[in-house]
Amino acid sequence: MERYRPRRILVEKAVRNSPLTRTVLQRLPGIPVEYLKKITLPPSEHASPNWLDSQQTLLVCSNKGRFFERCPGTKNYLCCHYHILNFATNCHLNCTYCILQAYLNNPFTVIYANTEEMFKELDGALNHSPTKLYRVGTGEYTDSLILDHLTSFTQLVVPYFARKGSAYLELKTKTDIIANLEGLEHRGKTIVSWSLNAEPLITTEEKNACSLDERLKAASYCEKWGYKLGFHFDPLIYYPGWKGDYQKVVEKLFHTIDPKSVSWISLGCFRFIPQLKALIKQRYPGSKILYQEFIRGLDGKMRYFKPIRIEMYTTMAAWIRSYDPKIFMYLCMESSEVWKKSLGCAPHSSQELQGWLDHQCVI
Amino acid sequence: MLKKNTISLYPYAKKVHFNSVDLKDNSFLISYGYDLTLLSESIKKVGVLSPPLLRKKSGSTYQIICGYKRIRALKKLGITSAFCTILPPTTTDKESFLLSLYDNISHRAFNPIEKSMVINKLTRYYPDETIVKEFLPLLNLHPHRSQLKAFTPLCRVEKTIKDAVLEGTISESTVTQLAQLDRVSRNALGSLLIALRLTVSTQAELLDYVTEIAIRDTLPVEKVIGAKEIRALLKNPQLNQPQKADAIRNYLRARRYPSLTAKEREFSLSLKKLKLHPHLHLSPPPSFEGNHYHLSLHFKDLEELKKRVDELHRLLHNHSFITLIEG
Repeated sequence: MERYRPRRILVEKAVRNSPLTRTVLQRLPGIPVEYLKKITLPPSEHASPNWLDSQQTLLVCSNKGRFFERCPGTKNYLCCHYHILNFATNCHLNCTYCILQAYLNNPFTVIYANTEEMFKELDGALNHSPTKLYRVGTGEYTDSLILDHLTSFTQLVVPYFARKGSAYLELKTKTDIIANLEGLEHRGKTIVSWSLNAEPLITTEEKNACSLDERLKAASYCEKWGYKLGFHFDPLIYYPGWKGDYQKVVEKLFHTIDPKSVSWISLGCFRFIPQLKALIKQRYPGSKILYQEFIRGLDGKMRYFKPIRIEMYTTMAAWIRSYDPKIFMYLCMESSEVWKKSLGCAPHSSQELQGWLDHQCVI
Repeated sequence: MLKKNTISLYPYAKKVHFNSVDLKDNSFLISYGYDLTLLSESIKKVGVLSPPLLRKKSGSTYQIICGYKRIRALKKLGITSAFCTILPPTTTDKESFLLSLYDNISHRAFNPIEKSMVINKLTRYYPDETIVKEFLPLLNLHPHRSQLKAFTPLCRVEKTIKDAVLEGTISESTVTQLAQLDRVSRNALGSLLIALRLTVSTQAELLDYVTEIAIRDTLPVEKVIGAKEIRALLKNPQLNQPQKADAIRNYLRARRYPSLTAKEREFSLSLKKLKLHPHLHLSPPPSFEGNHYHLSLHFKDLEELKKRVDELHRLLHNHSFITLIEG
């Protein structure tokens, strides 16, 4: 997988002396750097057609908004009450289905360098309810590790969570940028997760990401380093022949990883906000992922027709359970009905699902 | 834009014989699908009120800048010459085109094909950003790149499709999508749309079904449209045009959404078997996604309401009804 290397760097003057800024600049010698007093983002209209080009600009700036927030979840489906730590935005992997295309109005790759403020905000939130268990992810607006070769952000955040009794960190990735994780004192408080997909889909829809074998190899290193692991089959994408291909992924997963190292496996069928359809059509005209049977879900997102989702979840769950019947699986943003029909059980509420996942952190 | 003094190009009026006007030179033509009848009538009654604007080409030939229709109407009336305003040969192409554009904009709205002609000609003189920002609003289009992209290829579509747009058989939004397809696919789909004469929303629906089935099944668009079921429906003498349109739409929807439409059929069949009173109406959750069914009943007085409620009570114990709801 090609490591991100921008063509130009924009640095907000306010963070020019931040340790994170210095680290990034030291690791990118020879790239033109522009220092700006004020960051004026390009109008999205003009940025949109040049999305891929614009990602080649790295913007190092301060986050003027919130670093730490609750995952917005989605209406009418069970949500796991996850929290998000927003340390960077955008991702040059450019998976065809990525929601960031419709979500971000700024096409640049952004790193927030005011990390002191970030940890201050995090301290405030976590110390406010010290007994409450937080599951915090950094992979919502970017891939958790995609910029780690430039930022070494994990070297700050993993030890931080190791010291926070009530909070667990999840690093979600499709990369093998794990070098910084070796030797860190994580105290079992960091779960490193990989998003997995069928190999033909990795080739066509996730073509800039690591191959399945590379992801699993990276996961096995993290397993050796004592990290708990998570795996996300999300998005599960339906296509003729999906069964054989996904079954191979499950086989490879458990051929490489001991089920006992796995904190959770999530399953989530491909879903998208309607606005994303035009963007995918325009940017990836060869992609076929939009043309299966989608209906408008109760939250307004397009989802596969329910029987298709249930079939995919049931099949995946059976394969996964054949390796370990007790392995913890959950469905992302699904209804109780789909849970019951697919996994044979359902949390009564989002709070109960939260409890189940929290429990997986502490065992 | 024109410079403030651009128009002071010292034009002069002169009687010009049409033999010396290059009628094949469409450099500044931005009209499509016009009818000369009314203009000819007007000329017959009151003559040419505004003389055509010409530019001297090489030798003694003139090029039309404004007045293509006027000159054609005059010729149709058997008139061979007219007083014209002549611009000097030093007038640039860009200036000439802007004269033509603003002359047209001042007194009429452009149809979608003409908007495309204007955009294509503007690209010779201006970068995309300028066209988007300054000219699209003049054409009643949103100043957005997507509009530029959508309208640019319209004037290159085939005549039958262009004419269908002008007749209103193919909508502006449909033709912008047709224009993105290859010629064979476009003509196949265009012919079907012309034959079915659909509403704007049904055109969009049909276009989506056909193009999405084609991508999903890796089939050429013309193969999807050429399905024997569609051919049979088009030929069916028992069906009138709206019925054919409806049947073809249903066929394509079922092909695009096989599981969903099968479930809809299954539900509708089960409902029929229940033989609900016609005043009771049961609808499934939209797309069978949630679990909210909708039941409505009609009654004219309390006596009738009581009957409906009794029927509902019976329904609650009906095994087929329970299966229908609980699956």
